[in-house]
Amino acid sequence: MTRISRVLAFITVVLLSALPLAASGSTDQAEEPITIRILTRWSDQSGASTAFRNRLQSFMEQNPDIIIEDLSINDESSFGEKLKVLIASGDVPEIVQNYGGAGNRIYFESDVYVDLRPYLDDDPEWAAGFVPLFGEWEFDDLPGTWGVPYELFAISLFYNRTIFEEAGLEPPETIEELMEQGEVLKSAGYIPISTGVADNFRGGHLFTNLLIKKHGPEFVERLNRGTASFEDQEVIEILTLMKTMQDEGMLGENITAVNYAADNALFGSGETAMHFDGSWFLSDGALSRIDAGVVPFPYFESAPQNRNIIMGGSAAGLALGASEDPDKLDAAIKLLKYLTSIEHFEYIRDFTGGGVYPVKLPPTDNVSSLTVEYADTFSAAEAFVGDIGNGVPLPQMVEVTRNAIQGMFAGAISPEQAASQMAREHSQADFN
Amino acid sequence: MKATSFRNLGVGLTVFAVFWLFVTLYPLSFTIVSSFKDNTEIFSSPMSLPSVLRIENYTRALLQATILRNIANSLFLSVISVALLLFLVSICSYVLAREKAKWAVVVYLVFLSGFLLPVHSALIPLTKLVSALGGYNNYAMLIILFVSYNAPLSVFLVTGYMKTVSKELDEAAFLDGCGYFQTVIYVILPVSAPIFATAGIVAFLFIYNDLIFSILFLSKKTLYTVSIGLSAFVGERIVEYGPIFASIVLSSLPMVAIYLLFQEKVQKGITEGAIKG
Amino acid sequence: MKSKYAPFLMVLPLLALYLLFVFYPVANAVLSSFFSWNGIASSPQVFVGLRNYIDLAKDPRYFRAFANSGRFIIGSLLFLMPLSFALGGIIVSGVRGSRVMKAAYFLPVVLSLTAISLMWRSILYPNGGPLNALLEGMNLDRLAQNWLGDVRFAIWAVVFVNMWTYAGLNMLIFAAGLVSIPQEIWDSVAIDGAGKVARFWYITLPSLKESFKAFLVLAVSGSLKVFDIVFIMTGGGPNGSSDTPATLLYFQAFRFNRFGIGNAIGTLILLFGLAWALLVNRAVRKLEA
Repeated sequence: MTRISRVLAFITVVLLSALPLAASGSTDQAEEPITIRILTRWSDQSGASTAFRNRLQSFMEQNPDIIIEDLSINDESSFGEKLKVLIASGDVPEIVQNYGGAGNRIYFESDVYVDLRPYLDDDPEWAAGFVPLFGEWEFDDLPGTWGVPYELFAISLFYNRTIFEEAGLEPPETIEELMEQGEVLKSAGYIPISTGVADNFRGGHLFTNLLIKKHGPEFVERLNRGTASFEDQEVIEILTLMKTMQDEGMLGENITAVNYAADNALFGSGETAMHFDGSWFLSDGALSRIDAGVVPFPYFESAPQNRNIIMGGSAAGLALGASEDPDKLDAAIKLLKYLTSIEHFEYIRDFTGGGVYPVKLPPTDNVSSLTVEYADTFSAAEAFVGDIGNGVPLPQMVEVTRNAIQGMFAGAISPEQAASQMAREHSQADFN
Repeated sequence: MKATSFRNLGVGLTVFAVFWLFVTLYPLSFTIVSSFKDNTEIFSSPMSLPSVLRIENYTRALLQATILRNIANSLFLSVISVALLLFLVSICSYVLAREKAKWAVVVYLVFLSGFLLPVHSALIPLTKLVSALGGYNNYAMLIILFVSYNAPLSVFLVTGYMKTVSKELDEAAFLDGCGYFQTVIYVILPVSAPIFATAGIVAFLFIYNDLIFSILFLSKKTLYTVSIGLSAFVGERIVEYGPIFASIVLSSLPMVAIYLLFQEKVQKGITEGAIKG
Repeated sequence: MKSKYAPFLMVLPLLALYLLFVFYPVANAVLSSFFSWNGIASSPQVFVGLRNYIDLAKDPRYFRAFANSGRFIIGSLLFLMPLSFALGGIIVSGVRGSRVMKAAYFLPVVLSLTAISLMWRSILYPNGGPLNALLEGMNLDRLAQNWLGDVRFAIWAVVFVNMWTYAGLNMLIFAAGLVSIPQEIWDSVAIDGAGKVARFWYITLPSLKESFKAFLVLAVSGSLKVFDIVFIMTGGGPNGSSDTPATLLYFQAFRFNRFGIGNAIGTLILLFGLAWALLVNRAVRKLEA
């Protein structure tokens, strides 16, 4: 070998051997502190996320024997990729933000996460603090409670007070009123209730709201169990209504090109009179530009019994990743209780000046009047129902539903065709 | 300057050149203008100037999101990775371009297959590997990944180019007593400068903007790169575009500087004389 | 002074890294396409033979996705190639202002896709966006469309934005080829008095064989695996009309836990890309002979 060849051989050896060296460098087998990892979407600069990180910090100060490694990444698809890759390599973090529902069921069945029921039973004080919204993490035929709620949401109807006063209108209580007011608002030059569906969840939320207000939670339950079909008249009726709303210009123009951020901006710039959205909208800058109020999502005059059926429930919760190390599990439980305690949510509420939370908080004057108004919109709730499709044992059902609705709004398919697109997927689900 | 055939662009091409200048400078102005707005203005009047200059977008990008730190990290990773990549590619591609034996063809094809598969397919086996090697929060690991994942494209570009470099040059060098290695470094590399600059720019761009490896393998805030920094204002549901645009303006500057530096080299690197046959 | 081992040793460092970190995961993905797996480490991977591929063949969504890749390829060959070639020519020409152009033409790739997507969404916005306003101003109202929200146009709109974004990158490939054509060749044809068109056909194009080969392979493989720009511009919508193989791969594997299907899509992308690369290689070699 020439000298240069030897150099090259050397380079190869060094490059490859750098790896195990790197490995030994980062595995600190120190006995004392326990490291647990947490993966959430609260790593951005919003108030709630900043407050969350402050709490992780103070937990570590109070528990010097526990080190928290915060893997959180806010962007939705980045979070999804990171989590799925970790689950696939059998390396799930000790605490994970989790949305529950049928889409997560396979993870609960495979014990990727820990059943929290024994821990809740062991600590009645902790368990009693929660608003009873465990539906996303409990299943009739699968024992256990696989997560605890962290975020609460309800879809309500925000409205622009100035526009309504100008037009001499009161915010609508029923869908029928909403449709009538639409004419007035349109002739005054406003979009009645802008609903851009370029982000497909917007169409899905409208669908869910209308379906539950008309046909109630029982019908949704039947869809979830496979005893009702997406091609049933109930579904087609709602899809047809949505199409009518679009055709009449209630939802705005060319709505398949309008995304969620644009929708919010239309509300902020006073171009749309109403905007249906969840609790997260309370922190949107658009609200600071106008005089906004909020009322419950309207019900159908023909179905007053469903007036207090609300689209909402727990949005994100926290689940406990299965760990073989009992010390880690104990530390994770401790952190989980810390992050879902009354003090925790009080801190977040005071830090952000608003929000709604899945625990029973003592009242305060520290929140914005809009937050109080918002909380009123679902104080009479008789039941919370999540996205249509979320309870169907098929991970893609929500996405398929939303896509079909988007296709209908794009004019590519009729309401009936949208319904059969959903039904085709629905029939593949395995309803025991 | 070379390429005489283009010295006179002609009317048609000149008009087009100016048109495309406008077409590509516009997004820059859009980005800069948007970096001084809030969401409502960005979406409801995207084409107009900001009503008030929201300087706080920049202060938030700098202070809250520590964008400068992220830029420095990405620059460091990119510079080291590209340097290592180009060195390894230069010697590897030379052999692949010259060696007639079957094994060289096979190696070339094996490299080629590397940039044909979408990266999402490779993530799970790759993560297991990185985890087994203890490669989390480890820049050495990231650099090795960047070199490996940019290797196929660089090898493809450089090998193709080197095939067009006259063999007489190598033979003259061998006669002068140069070894394989010296021939590459002192003879072939200089005449291949344009393609190295191109491959270097492309690799730099990918590494500087990398998102997926940073997301999967970094969790220490101090190690975060530009793409993670850009997402600091992407909330769970509400996205604040103003500070994101401010961060984009800031993080694009180093990339433009690097590009201009490399691109100058493309043209300076060509020495006079018959270098290709 | 050629050592017998030198060629191996010069290839080895890069090859070793590549084999371990790229080729092994790729091979793993190809192999996994014959298994069914839900993405949970403790769940078994079940061998299903060609089932995943048969599922793909039976579902029209995958045909549509590959057809959309075909649209990216059409755009690349008909528009992006001449465009990048012209831009490459402009920046190496040395005409006044070519330095500014060199910087400007590259800008779209430098600015993050977030900015690009938002800008183009605004330009293509149907409710008073500048493109439709322009068309209406020219009394071409009938041509004004809901570009990104219509199943007929969304994919083409993304193809267009993709070309606009990456023209600056492909320009570099042609620029690198152009600057390396030796001065003597130009001088000799100048003496011959060859016309512009003749010079272009007999000198410029043949000298750029490698550049065209590089472009053709990169553009087609890029079209087959295009993901980011589709994901950020339309998310594959409306109703999946702008889905590409890679967006379906992402949804099937990372959203719906069907990793076997995802890997089968990946393998098909790989096979098509490889076949095309070999074809281009052979064609270029024919030209040389």
